[in-house]
Amino acid sequence: MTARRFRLGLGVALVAIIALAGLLAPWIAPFDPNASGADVLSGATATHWMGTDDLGRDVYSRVLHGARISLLVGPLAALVTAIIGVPFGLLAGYARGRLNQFLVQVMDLFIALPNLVLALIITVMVGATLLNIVLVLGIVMWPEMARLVRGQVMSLRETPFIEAARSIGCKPSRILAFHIWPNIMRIVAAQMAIAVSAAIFTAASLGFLGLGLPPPAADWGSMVQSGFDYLSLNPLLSLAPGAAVALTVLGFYLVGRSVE
Amino acid sequence: MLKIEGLRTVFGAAGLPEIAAVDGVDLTVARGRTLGIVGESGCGKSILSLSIMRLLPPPGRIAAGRILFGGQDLAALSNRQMRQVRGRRIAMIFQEPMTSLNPLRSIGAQIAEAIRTHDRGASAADLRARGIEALKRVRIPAPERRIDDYPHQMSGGMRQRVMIAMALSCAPDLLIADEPTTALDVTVQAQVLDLLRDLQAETGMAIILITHDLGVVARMADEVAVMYAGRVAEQAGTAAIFNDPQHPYTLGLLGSIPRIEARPGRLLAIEGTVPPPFALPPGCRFAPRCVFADADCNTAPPPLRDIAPGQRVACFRAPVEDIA
Amino acid sequence: MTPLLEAIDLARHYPVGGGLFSRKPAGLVRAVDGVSFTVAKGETLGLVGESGCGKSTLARLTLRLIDPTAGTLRFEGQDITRLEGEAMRRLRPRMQMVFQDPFASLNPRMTVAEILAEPLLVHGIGDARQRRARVEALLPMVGLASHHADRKPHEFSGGQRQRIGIARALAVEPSLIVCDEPVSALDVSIQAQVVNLLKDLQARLGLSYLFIAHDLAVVRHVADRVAVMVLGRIMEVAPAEDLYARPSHPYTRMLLAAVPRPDPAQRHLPSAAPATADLPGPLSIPQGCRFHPRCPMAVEPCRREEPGLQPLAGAPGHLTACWRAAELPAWMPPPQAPPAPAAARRLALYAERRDQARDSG
Repeated sequence: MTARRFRLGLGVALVAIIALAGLLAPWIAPFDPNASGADVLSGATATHWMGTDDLGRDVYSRVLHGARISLLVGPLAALVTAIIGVPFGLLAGYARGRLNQFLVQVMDLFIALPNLVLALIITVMVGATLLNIVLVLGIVMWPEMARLVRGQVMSLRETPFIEAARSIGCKPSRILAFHIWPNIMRIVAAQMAIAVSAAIFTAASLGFLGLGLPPPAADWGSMVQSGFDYLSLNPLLSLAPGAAVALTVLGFYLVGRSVE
Repeated sequence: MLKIEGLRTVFGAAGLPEIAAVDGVDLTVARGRTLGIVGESGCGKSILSLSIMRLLPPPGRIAAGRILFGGQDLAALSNRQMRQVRGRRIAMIFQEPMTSLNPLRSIGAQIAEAIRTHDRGASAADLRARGIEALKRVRIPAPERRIDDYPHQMSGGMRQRVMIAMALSCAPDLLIADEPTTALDVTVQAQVLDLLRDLQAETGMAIILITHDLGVVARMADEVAVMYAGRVAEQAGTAAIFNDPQHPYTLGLLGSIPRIEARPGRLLAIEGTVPPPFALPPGCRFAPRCVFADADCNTAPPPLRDIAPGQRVACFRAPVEDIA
Repeated sequence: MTPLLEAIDLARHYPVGGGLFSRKPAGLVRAVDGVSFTVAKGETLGLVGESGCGKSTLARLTLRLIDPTAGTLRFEGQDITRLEGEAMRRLRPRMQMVFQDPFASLNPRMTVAEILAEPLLVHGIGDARQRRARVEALLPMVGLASHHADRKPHEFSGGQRQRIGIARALAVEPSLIVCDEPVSALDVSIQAQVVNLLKDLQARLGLSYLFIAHDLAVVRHVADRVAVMVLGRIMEVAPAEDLYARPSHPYTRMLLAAVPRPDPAQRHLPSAAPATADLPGPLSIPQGCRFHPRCPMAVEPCRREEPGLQPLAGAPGHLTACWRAAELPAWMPPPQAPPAPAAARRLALYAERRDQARDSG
């Protein structure tokens, strides 16, 4: 119990710090994240706390601004995941017979494909814009959500109060909306927090593989990748955005797991 | 053999007022005898048995009183000393045998484990032989075959027999049976009750039988304690409880039983529900539901007093026929 | 007169198992295996059987919550065996159910008012104000107070929840209520409350009940007729008085003998427990009479051929499915002492006081 509360507290604190950093980035960042300077690839100094990159941009400012992008991509992707996954899961969990078989097969097909590879292929095809990345992540991740919802619906469907709802003459649509959905909302919310963390992680992976938002956007994944060549000169170039990704992912994951 | 004095078991998280689930209970059980503890859910009967076993879930604890068993006060023993008592000298069986058995291990393995806790040196062959013997003792047909079964392959009645076999494998002096037949069909219930009675006659163990069913009590118990809201309402020999019931709550329980030989009519029933332990009335705890209650009943709790030899009742108004 | 409900050879079989690559099931669970009965208007039919006898499946078949594999179901003379969709939905208010588990049968997220108003809402009965008024009227009918309306199920005890379940069933003014072990999960004192409530409601509203129970004691107090089930079939059915006075199937006798009596004088009598072990499950229903492995009377014909329900001579409406029904010894109920005078006197006083309390308030 206490361990769970500790995890929840830690998760909320991490998410809150990242969210504040992202929200306040324009005011607290010491430099314009995209402004080049003469001081190229410097180490950590009093002016540039995390040094500068190969174009002389302030790494600390870029990491702060990167939080804005991650906090946009993650929750939006999770939302798309829920918008596709929840109705699909509700239907797949409640339907019987052929419809059920068909839905489950579609779901299994998507689950069988590795997320990152699928995301890579689609991103290459459609191009890396913010909207595209959000949609791609949602399309890649929804089967997890659908599977979770389906499992919940299937176990709830057999409970007496659902049987009672059928016996008073509720239509399936009403049973799903008024009897099943309120009882799985909490679990869906928890799964969404986990989806946020997964989306941020996958987005960072795309960025690292060169499919992040086009320059000069302060994309954490791209930053890690571009810093790779200069590790000996300023290791913070990769480490700082990498750590930011790790902490954000951890924060949302902890929140999701402890709410569950 | 077991003597409980002034037992008070409370639940209380830090900072909140304590809630007494068992509140000043005195009971005794003698060797070879059966004490029936009767009451509705929430009356404290299960907490009482968990107190004796010292298996209270947190934040429950024994706040006062003594549990004297074979010269020791169980309430004062360390956890380590208590482990020597539990399962060896006092054993317990529960309502739902499925949840008390490990679904992934065979019956034989689980009985062997129970035997090994008090006889470490037993060989594998010896354990198996003794396991078969234990199953035979609880009248499981074809024990040589059933010993390799898993719990899900057995019916509820068979599983309860296995639990009894495990509980008795260390020859306990006291068996606590918490609603042992409530989940079983009537015909199976009759078999299991007969079995318990025969095993008691054989071993001389004492039994505490916890149940809400007075029919079971009539068949099994020598003495009965009727509990209500954490206290003993009436205590007497079994015959007296049925033939000379004094407490209005006992009367209500007797009147609630659907009788198979009686002409069908309205059951007596007790209106209302047991008060939760955090909202107990100040006087007699049964007063709000009692048809005989008057103003006095709401002022102070009635003490448990002797009303006949061997019979004690906690009611100001008993015997009720004397009420003008 | 047409009965309110009529079931003819109703059956429900479930295929089970089957290999990974085979579409053929490994076995067939015959949960309900050819059951016929009727429930007249205003009548209570008690249906008794032990776990696995198919009584809960039969309850759900009766309400068309699951579909029968075979047989016919008629409600008010109309064949509803294959009724689907909207037509079935429109029939639902006429037949309702009270469930065994008062904890699991109420949606934990809804208030009592929402639970009780839902059947009305679903069938478009009344506007919001009228529905609220109906909720206010239902609560006292089942012995709850109007301030209970806005609470959620977890705030209630088991007995109170069962009252909520009964009120939900009553909301749409059904003519049949299927009670699936409505008191099995309750304490004895609460059982009595709920049994009394169901009887009062029946007298007041002219309801018919199909009352399912696992022992014969509770049924004695509610049923007009009683049917006893074994492994998916009815073995004996009779008017209640007649069934308890002369049970004519060995299984009924076994059930009667096994009920623990609240009479310590009987404890030293020879055991009422059947000597034989448990009955096989519905997956392996024995050949011949399905009760014969446990039957103390079984003879060779019982192992060969299954008996059908046959009328018993001299007892109208009493049917039994036993080859040896005519040879059964006369039924001797366990001897019982008259109630002790002290107990009888005090119980009478108790009843008197309770009735006074009820009349005055």
